[in-house]
Amino acid sequence: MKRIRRKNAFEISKGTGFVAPGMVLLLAVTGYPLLQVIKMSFYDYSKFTNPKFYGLGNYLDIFKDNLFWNAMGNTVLFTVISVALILIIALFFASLLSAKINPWLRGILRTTLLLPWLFSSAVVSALWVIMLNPFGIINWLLMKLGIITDVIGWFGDERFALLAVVLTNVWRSFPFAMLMLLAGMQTVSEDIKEAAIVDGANSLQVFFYVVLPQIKNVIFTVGTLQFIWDFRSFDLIYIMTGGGPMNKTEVLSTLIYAGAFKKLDYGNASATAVIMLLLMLAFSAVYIKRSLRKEE
Amino acid sequence: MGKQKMRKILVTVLLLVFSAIVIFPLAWMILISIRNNNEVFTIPTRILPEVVTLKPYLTIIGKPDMMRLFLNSYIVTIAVTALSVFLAMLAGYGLSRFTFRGKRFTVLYLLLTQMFPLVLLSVPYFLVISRMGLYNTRTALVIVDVSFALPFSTLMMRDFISTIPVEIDEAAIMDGCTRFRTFFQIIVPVSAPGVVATAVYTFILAWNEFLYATILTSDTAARTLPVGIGMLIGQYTTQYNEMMALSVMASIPLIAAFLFFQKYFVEGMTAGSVKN
Repeated sequence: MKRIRRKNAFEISKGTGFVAPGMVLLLAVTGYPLLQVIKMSFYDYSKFTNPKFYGLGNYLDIFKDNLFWNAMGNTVLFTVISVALILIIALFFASLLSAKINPWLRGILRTTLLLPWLFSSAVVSALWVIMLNPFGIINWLLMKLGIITDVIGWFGDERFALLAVVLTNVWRSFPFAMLMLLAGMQTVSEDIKEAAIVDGANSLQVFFYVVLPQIKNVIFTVGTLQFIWDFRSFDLIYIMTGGGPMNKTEVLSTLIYAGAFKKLDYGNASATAVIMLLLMLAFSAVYIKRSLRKEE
Repeated sequence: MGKQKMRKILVTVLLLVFSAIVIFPLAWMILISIRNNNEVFTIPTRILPEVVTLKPYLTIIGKPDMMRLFLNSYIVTIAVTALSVFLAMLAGYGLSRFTFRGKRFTVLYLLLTQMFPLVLLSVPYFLVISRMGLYNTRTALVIVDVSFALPFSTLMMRDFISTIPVEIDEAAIMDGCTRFRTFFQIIVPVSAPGVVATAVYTFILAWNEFLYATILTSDTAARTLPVGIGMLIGQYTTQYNEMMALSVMASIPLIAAFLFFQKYFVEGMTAGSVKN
């Protein structure tokens, strides 16, 4: 069908002309370094040695390295808990916001609830480091509510450090998911909901059996994007814990960063990055396929 | 009828309570920034400061190094936003209006680069930027940020321009406009809301970018606000009130841009996910 719209060679070259400046820049700035990373991953190469071909050596080293598997485990844990909490909280707020409430209030609250998403991770980290300080407001509140009896050293305690960064991440990330889910929910027709209510469904049933199935594509999209963003998350963890204590919050991103810029082992860090890239492409394959199909 | 009204009140109350919880940390940021440092961690915690002071803000403003962070952030962000919106508009128009060889690959590449782990390209960027003599320059940050912003911006612009009827272009061309004149004089003005949405997206991304600003800068010649704030957290002694004052000041441009343009921005962000 599209071929019919194609007018002539002259027009075609113009299409390329419009797209070229951005794409040439993008390819130069991402394509070339991408090839470099892949190449470096097959080399024994650090700041202090000349690159020497190493075959699959880096990859074999990585698979034998406990620190890699530790980071992999933490990444999965961080991602899965974050995505689950983000989706639940986002669905909660989106469903309340899509209920029949004062439209003016809805607008104000939607804007207000989006705010945490805007702040830079450095600001978010600074704020939560203060709130999660042993003498900070969160411990004080938890003690006041009788949930804990002793102060928690959120970042010093191996049991709580990952939870602390997850909480921070959930707070700053859920608004985006909420916005998308709300937009999806607002496309669900009122008639279907009313019909279900007439048939005797209560609001929870309407939510689970009418609204959720209708927005399952949006949930899938948001879930996939959130999974990818959390899987590659770097800023919050790097700033708040630096991967500690005892590597309990070390994730793949921070491991690669440390490998490249602290150990200065470029070959090994590149190979870890390539492994991470392959995982992320695998996670996003269905999403990308769907997006491409929409193009047709 | 009474039941419906009860429901409405219940939902409203739930929303207000939970929104207050979500928003509280932001209020806390401000409350910390207007108190003396010895009032930051007290037992028990003081919600409201005993002494309200603007000294943390004045201290920040008095430090040339801190002001330099703002200058760097503004220059980088404005350059990135201008450049990437311009490129995204052109590419978005090309993708929306033409069929050409490599179009599928272009779209695929735009989608794929959004899936890259950010840290993936850090090593070659660092090496290449250093070799080019651009290490610790704002130029390096602009180049990198533009490449991060372009994929999503381009698709956002493409989606927006696709909602503008092709007949408008055709009419202009019939009237003797060239393609480029059509683009600049007809499409650009009509797509203003899409441009605003893309610009806000890019602004937020560039203003907040942390990883590459950390890797590619070494001092205040190019260091941006997020890096500066991140470093404050790492330091042993910490003036928490000043850290929060700096955070508030660093966030004002973002909030202002968002509040001012939120209508367009929210529409632009959600457009893609809802059309299934």
